[in-house]
Amino acid sequence: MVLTKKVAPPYSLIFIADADGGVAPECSPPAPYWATSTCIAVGCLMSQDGDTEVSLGKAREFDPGARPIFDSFLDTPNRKVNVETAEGELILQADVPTESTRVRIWTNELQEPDKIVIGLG
Amino acid sequence: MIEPFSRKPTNAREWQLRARVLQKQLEGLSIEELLRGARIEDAPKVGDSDRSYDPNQPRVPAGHPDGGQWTIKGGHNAGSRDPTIRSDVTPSNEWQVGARYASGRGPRVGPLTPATQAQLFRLGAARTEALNAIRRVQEIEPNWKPQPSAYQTVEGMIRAYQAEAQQASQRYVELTYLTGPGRFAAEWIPAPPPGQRLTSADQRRIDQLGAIHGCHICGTFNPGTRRGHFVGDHQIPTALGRPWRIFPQCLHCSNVQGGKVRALMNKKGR
Repeated sequence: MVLTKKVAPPYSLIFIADADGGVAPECSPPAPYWATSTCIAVGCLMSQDGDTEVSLGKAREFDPGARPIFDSFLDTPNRKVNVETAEGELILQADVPTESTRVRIWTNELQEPDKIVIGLG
Repeated sequence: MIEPFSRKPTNAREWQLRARVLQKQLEGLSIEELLRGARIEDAPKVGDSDRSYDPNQPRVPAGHPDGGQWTIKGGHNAGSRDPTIRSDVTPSNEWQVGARYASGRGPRVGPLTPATQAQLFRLGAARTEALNAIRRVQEIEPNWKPQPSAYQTVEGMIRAYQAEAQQASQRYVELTYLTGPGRFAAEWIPAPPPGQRLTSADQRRIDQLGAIHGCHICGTFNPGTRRGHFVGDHQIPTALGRPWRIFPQCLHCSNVQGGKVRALMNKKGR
């Protein structure tokens, strides 16, 4: 199942991590994303400029065919993947079967995308 | 009694005596002082009246990270146990790379192992980086100091400096991004009620302030956003309390601040 939500998160960032929050990356220098093994931060449209559509689901359900901007494994010891704002507000959540989950991320722009697709597995 | 520095030693005993005197002079100095070649407060400052060139002024010996640089002239405390280098040693290049110069009173817990030239180069670079980072923090928080590290090898000393630089960088980011308006902060607009976005009029005003004063954190006049708008940065950050002012901020500083806020939230236990 694909979950989708439109949000305007503060700091123009969304964070993808296990339910325990992980270790947030240093979001510098400017880049489309920043990551640690337990948390991924992805830049999005500046909140004053509008909403960003965030989708979360199994990668095979909506693999757009394009090359993802991010493709790596995320530690998920609680077998959950949360998409949250910097302030910890939950945007989307999905259960995963393993303690390490392959995460692929596609965006419609490298800088300030307003569409972010997060594929799991 | 042989005066150890009146002439160049000619035999092993004289060399040993000279080494012992040198060791006594250097005992008790911190690593900072050793590297500088004198106590920090005694280091010459720009504008000192006696900074004119003196061909007899001693230099830090070769093999030392500051090797070749001028050091303090010999003077009133030469040869005393006062932990100050006021050496009247004839400049020489007999000191060897990795020689044991002193027993430290600083964070070191044992004798330093011999260092290679490459290590000394890296040590100098790490030290410079640490001092610069600490100075940057102390411009904002004058009494801030990094936590000292223990080390026993030159590599450990390099890592200790790197750790100090990292601590200082983290503190600088905390001070800059999480504890109020940045150094370029000037005018601001009142924050809207919690949960309410800025109106388009607010955004226009923020853009105007950004064009006049730049990002309140880094001072850039380039907002870095796709549509050319400055971010309206709530101060204090919403995660830390109720904001009441909004300053213009560039996208990069906003992202960095977001990462810091996120880390802080995790540390607080979410």
